[in-house]
Amino acid sequence: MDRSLAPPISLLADIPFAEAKKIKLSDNVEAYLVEGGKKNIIRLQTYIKAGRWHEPQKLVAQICARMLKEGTKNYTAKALAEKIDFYGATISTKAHFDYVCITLYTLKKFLPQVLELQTEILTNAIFPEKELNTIINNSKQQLKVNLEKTDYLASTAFLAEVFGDKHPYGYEVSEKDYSVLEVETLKKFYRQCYHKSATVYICGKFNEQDITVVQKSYTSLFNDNSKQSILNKNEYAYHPTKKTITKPNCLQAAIRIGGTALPKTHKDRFNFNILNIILGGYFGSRLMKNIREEKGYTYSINSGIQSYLNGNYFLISTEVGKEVCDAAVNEIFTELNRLQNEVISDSELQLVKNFICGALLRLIDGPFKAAGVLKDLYDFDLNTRYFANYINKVKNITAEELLNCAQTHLKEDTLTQVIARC
Amino acid sequence: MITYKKHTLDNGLRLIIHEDESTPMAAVNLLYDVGARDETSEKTGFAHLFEHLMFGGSTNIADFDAELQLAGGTSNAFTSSDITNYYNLLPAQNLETALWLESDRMLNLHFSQQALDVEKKVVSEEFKQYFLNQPYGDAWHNVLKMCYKTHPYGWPVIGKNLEHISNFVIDDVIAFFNKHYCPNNAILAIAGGVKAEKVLELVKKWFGNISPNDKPKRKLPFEAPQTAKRNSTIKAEVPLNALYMTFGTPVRNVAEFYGVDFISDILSGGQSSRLHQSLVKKQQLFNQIGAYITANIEPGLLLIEGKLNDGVTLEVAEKAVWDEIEKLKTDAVEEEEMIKVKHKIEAHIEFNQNKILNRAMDLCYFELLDEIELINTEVEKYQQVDATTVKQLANTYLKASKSSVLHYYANND
Repeated sequence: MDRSLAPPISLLADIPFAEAKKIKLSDNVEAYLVEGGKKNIIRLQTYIKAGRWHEPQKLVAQICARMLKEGTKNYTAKALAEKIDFYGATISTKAHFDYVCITLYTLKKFLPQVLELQTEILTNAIFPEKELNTIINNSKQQLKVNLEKTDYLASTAFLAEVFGDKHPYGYEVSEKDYSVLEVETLKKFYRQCYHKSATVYICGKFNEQDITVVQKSYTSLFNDNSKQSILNKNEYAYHPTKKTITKPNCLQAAIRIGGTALPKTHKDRFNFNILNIILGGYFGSRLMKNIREEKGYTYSINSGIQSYLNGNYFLISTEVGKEVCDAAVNEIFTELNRLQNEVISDSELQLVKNFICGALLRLIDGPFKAAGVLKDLYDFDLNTRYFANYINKVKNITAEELLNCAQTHLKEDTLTQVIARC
Repeated sequence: MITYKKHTLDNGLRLIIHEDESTPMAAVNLLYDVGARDETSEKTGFAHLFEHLMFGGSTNIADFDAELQLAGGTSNAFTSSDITNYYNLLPAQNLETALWLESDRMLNLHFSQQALDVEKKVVSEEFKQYFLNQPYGDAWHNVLKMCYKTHPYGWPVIGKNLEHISNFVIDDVIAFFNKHYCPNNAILAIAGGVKAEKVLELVKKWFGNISPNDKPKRKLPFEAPQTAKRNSTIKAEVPLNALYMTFGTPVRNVAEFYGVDFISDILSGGQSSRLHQSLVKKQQLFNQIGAYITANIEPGLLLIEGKLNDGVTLEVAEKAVWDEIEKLKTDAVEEEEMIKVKHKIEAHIEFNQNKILNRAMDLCYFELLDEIELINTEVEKYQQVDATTVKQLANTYLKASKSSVLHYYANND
C-alpha cells in the first residue's frame, strides 16, 4: 500500500437542498417547516420586526426583548422561569439588528405547554420596574467588564466607524444609555412592534398534529393590523478611517480591518464570497497560513461578510501579541494586495472549490442548520434556486474573475482599520 | 435508541461504527487516551501543544488540512485534562480520505523544528487571549492550584505559564508521540451516512498494519483527601469583585457522579435555579452566578463562580452562597424541583445527541470509560437520582472542610 497516494475523492454534482414547506399560521404569520433529525426535539423560532432597526432610542430593542420573561399578567418572573424550566425547555428572547428572535427549544412531548408560555410573553408582558432595575444594573456591570476587553472595544468601534455612531447597526453604548431607559418606553415599543406580523421557522422532528398545535397557538397572536410606522434613519455615508484605541496594560492587540460590503443580490457578491473564503474564510485560508501557521502571531485570524436588511459589512478580525501588532497589520495588507496583484494558482483554487462544495453539504447537515440557511435566503427574497447552480458556479469560476473582483472591491483606500492596543 | 457496532483490531485499536442514513456526512472521531494529567508539574501544557503539532504534517502527507479540505471536509481537535480528541466531518463518500489522514499521523509524525517553533508562538497567543488578556483570566489557574496539591489536575490544560510552553524541545515531541500515540491507546468512532461493513474494511486497510506499543501505564500522584477549608485572595485590575468556590466531586463512572452533577443543576440550571433566583434576583448580591462540574474521569470539582454587585463585600456574598448550600443539606428537595431538573437534563442530552459528530465523540468517550451503553442510558442515570440521595450527597461533598474559596478583589485604588 502506498500511503503517499490519496484515496480517490468525489464531490457532489448538486446539493440535495429541499425548499422548506411554507404554511400560513394566521393572516399575519408565515411559517416554514424543516423536518429532520432523529431525536424527539423541536426548535421553533419566531422573527418579529422589533430589532435595533425599529427602536426609538438606543437599547430599547435589546432590553425590551430581555424583559419579556420578567413578568406577565398571569406569572411573576420567577413563576414563569419555573414553568419553562419544568418542561426542560429554553425560551430565548434576543434582539438583533433587524429582528427580535424568540426561540423555543423543547422536547416534542412538551410542545403544547411551552407554546402556551410563549403566548403569555408575547401577549401579556408587563415590564415590572423592579425587574427592569435589576437588568439595567446587571447590564451596566457587564458593560464594565466588557470595556476591559480589547476585542470588545475594537469590535464595537469598528461598527461605529462603518455604519456611523447614530446608526442602529453602528452605535456604541455607555452606562448612561442604560440609565435613561424607562418602563413606559419599553411598553410602548412592545405595544407597537410585537403584535403585527412574524415569520416562523419550525424544525426538528414534528408531525401534523404538532403543526396543528402550533397553528392553534398562533391564532391569538399577531392580530394587530395597523401599519408599522417607519422611523426616519439618518443615512450615513461611509468614509474609511484609521482608529487606534489605547488600553493600558494589555498583552494583545485587537485588530479589525474591513468596510461596507456588497449586498447579497449584487452581481459581484458571489465572486466576493469566494474571495473572502480564500482570504480568511476557512482554516487553510491565506491569513491563517501566513499569520498563524508561518509567523505564529496569533491563535486565530479570519474574515467574514455579514448581511443585514439595511447594510452589509466585510471584516478581518484577529487578536495578536502586542509586540507583533504592526507586523501583523502589514501582513494583512500584504495578503489583500496579493489578491489584487497575483492570479491565484490552479491548485489553491481547486482546493477552495472542493472545500466550498463540502461546506455547502455541511450547511444542510440536520434540520437546525438547514433552517438557518433557508432563512438567510428567504430574508432576501431568494430561494433554493440560489444553490441550484451554485456548485456549477463554484466549479466554473476563474482566477481572472477573482482577480478582477479583488481589484474592484478590496482596494486598500476603501478599508477601515481599528486597533485596540496599549 | 442509538445503535452501534464495536470491533477491536488485532493491534488493539477500538472501533465503533454508528450508521445514520439520514445524513450525507460522515463524522470521524479519534480519541487518544492522553491528556494534561499525563504531564509532569515542571512541563505543563504539552498535551495541548502536541495536539497543535498533529496538524503539522505526517511522514507521507505534508498538509493534513489541505488534503481534508480537498475532500470537502473540515477538522479540529481539543485537549482536556483526561483526553486528546481529534474530529473530522466530511462528505460520507470521501470517508476514506479521513482514514488515510488520521492513520498516517498515528503511524508517524513529521517532526519539524520549524513547526514546533511556530506552534509554541501560536499557543502562547492562545494562552494570552484566553487567560492573560481577559479580566479574571487567571482565576482558573489560581483555583486549580488551591484545589490540587499533588495531582496534575492542579494546572489547566493550557499549562501553568508561558515559560513552560516556550521551553519545549523537539525531543519532548518525539518522546510524547512514541509513548502515547499508538493504536492500542486510541478509540475511533465513525458515524453518519456510512455502511458498517465498508467502514470496517477501510479501517482495517488503513489502521490494521500500524504496530501497537506498550500501553502507557498511568501512575498519577495521589491527592491526599482535603481536611480543612482553603482560602486565597487575588487583587487585580478588574471592574468587580468575584467569588470562586469549589468542592471535590467523585470519579466519573459511579452513580454518585450523576447525583453531584444533579446538585449543580439544582443550584444553577436555568433562570429558575436557586442561585440565580436567590442571589441575583432576590438578594441582589451578584449580577451573575453559576455552578458546574468539571466532569473529570478522576475526582473533579464542583465550581460555583459569580461576579458581585458594586458595594457587596465578598464575605457577605460567600455567606449567602453557604446559606443556599445549607438548605440542600437540611431540607429535602421538593418533587416538582426534582422533576424539573430531570426534564432539563433529558432535553440537554437529546439536543446534544442530535448531531452525528457529538454522537461520535460521546461513543468514544463512553467506551474509554468502559461503559459505552451510556450513549443510551445516561438519561436514566440522572432519572434515578432522588431527593434523599441529593441531601445525602450534599452532606458528603459540600462541606466547608472540603471547600476551596478564592476571593478575587477589584483593585479600586
